Amino acid sequence: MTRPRVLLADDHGPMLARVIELVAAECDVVAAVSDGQSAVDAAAVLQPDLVVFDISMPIMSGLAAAAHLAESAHPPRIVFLTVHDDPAFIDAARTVGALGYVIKRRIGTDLMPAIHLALEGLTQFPSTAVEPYHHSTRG
Amino acid sequence: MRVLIVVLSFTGLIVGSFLGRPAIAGRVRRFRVRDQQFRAMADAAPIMVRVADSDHRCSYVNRGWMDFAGGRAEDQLGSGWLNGVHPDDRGRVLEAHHRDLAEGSSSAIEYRLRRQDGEYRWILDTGVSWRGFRGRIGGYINSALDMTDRKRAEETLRELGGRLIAAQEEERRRIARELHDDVSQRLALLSVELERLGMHRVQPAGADERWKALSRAAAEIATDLHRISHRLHPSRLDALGLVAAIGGFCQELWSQEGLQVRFTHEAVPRAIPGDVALCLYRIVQESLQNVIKHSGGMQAEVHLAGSGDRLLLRITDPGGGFAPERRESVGLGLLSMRERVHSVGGDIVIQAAPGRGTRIGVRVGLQPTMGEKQPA
Repeated sequence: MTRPRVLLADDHGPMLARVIELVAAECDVVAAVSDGQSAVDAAAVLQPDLVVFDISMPIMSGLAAAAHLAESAHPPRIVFLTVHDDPAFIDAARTVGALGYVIKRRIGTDLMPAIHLALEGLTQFPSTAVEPYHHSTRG
Repeated sequence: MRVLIVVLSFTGLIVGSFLGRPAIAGRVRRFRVRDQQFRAMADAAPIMVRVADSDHRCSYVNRGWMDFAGGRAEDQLGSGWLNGVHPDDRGRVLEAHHRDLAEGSSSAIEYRLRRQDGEYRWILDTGVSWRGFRGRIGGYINSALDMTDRKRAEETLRELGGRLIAAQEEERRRIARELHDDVSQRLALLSVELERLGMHRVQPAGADERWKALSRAAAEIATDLHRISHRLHPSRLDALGLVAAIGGFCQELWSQEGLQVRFTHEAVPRAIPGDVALCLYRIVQESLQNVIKHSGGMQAEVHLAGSGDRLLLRITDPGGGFAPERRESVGLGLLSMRERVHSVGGDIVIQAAPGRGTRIGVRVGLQPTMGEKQPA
C-alpha cells in the first residue's frame, strides 16, 4: 500500500524538523516549506494527498494558503498545526475546509491520529468550551 | 439754566447731545478723565485692543495693535481693520461681531490677521460690549493676542504624540511576535519532549510524579506566555481581522471580569488598513477597561459599522460615568485615545458625565495611511 504523500509548512525551523520526524515515520514527506506562498506553489506542482499547515506564517498565512488550495483542481486534505488555542481560529480553520486542527503542545499525541482521520475524510477538532458570549451581525 | 451738553465717545466721536443741567457737565468731565485713564492703560498693555462703536465701525486701536499691524492708525479705523483679516476668516469674524453687539454677549474667536511683515498670524480675540453714557451699549471692545507659536507647539506635540504611539505599537508587535513565533514554539517542543520522556517503560522511583509536574509547569508557562504576548499585540487582529479581534476581547472581558458587552457590527469591509484596525482595537480595549475600572457598571455596548469609505465605532456604557476633566482619575487613557485617533486621521468625541454614563464615538477614513491591509 502506498504511503500517503504529505506536504509540511511551518516557519519555525526546530518545529518543522520535529514534524518531519513524526510524519516521515508513516508518510512520504514530499516537501517541507516555511511560508504560505511556497506551500501553494509546491502543492500545485507536487499534488500531495494532505498538507499540514502552521497558521502564522510570513508572506501568506496558513489560513489564506488553505483557502487558495481549496480552489485547486485536486484539493489536498488540510490539517492545521498551531500554537493558537482559540475558538475563533478553530472556526476560521473549519471555514477554509480543514479536517484537522492540532495544538502544538499536543503534537506527540494528536498529530498522527488527525492526519489519519483527515486522509479518510473525517474531522478531528479540539472541543471548544461553550461560549457564553456571542457577537452579532446586524443588517 | 440749561446748557447744551455734547457727549463724546472716548475716541472723540460725538455720540449724542442734549440739553441738561450744568451738574451733568461735571459727570461728563469725569467720564472724559476715565477715558484718558483707559487710553493710558490700553497703550501700555501688551495686548492688541480694538474698539468699535455701535455702528460696527472701529473707532480706536491701541499701540499694541498698531505695533502688530503697522501702517497708519487711520487705515485701521472704520472697517479698514478688516482688510488685515484673512479672507477665509472674515465672514466668521463679522458674524461674531454682529452677534455680540446685537445680544450684548461676549465671544472669543480665533482667526488669522496679517502682521506688518506680511505674515498671517493666528489671533485669539475676545470681545465684550461696553456701555457708554447712560448705560447704553456703546460698542464693542476686543482684546487680542498672537497665539501662532502656541498653536504651532500644539500641532507639534500632537504629531509627536502620534509618532510615539506608533513607535510603541511597533515595539509591542515585535516583542509579541518574538514571544509567539519563537519562544512559545520552543516551549511546545519542550512539552512534547517531556511527554516522550514520560512514556519510557523504565522509570527511576518518583520520576513519574516529577515529569508530570514538569509537564504541568511547561503548560502553565506556555499559557502565561500566550497571555503576555496577546496583551502586547492581539494575534487575532492580524490573522482574523478587526471584528474577530474585538469579539475575542469582549469574550475575555466576560470570562475574566464578568463585564457583559453587546457587540454588533454591520457592513464592516473585508480589508482595513493595519494601523486603523489596531487603533480601533486599542480604543475598544481602553474604553472597556475604563468601564470596569471607573464606572462601576457591568454592561456596555460596542458597535462597529462601515459607511461609505469610513468606519464608525461607538462605545456606550450607561453606568456611573466620569467627568472628562478628571484626567488623573482615568489616567492617560483619554489623552492617548485622542492622540491615536488623530494620528490615523480620524475624529473622536467623548461624552461623559458622572452618573449619566459614557459615550465614545470614533470616525476614521479607510484610505491607508501606512501599513498593510488586514482582513476584516
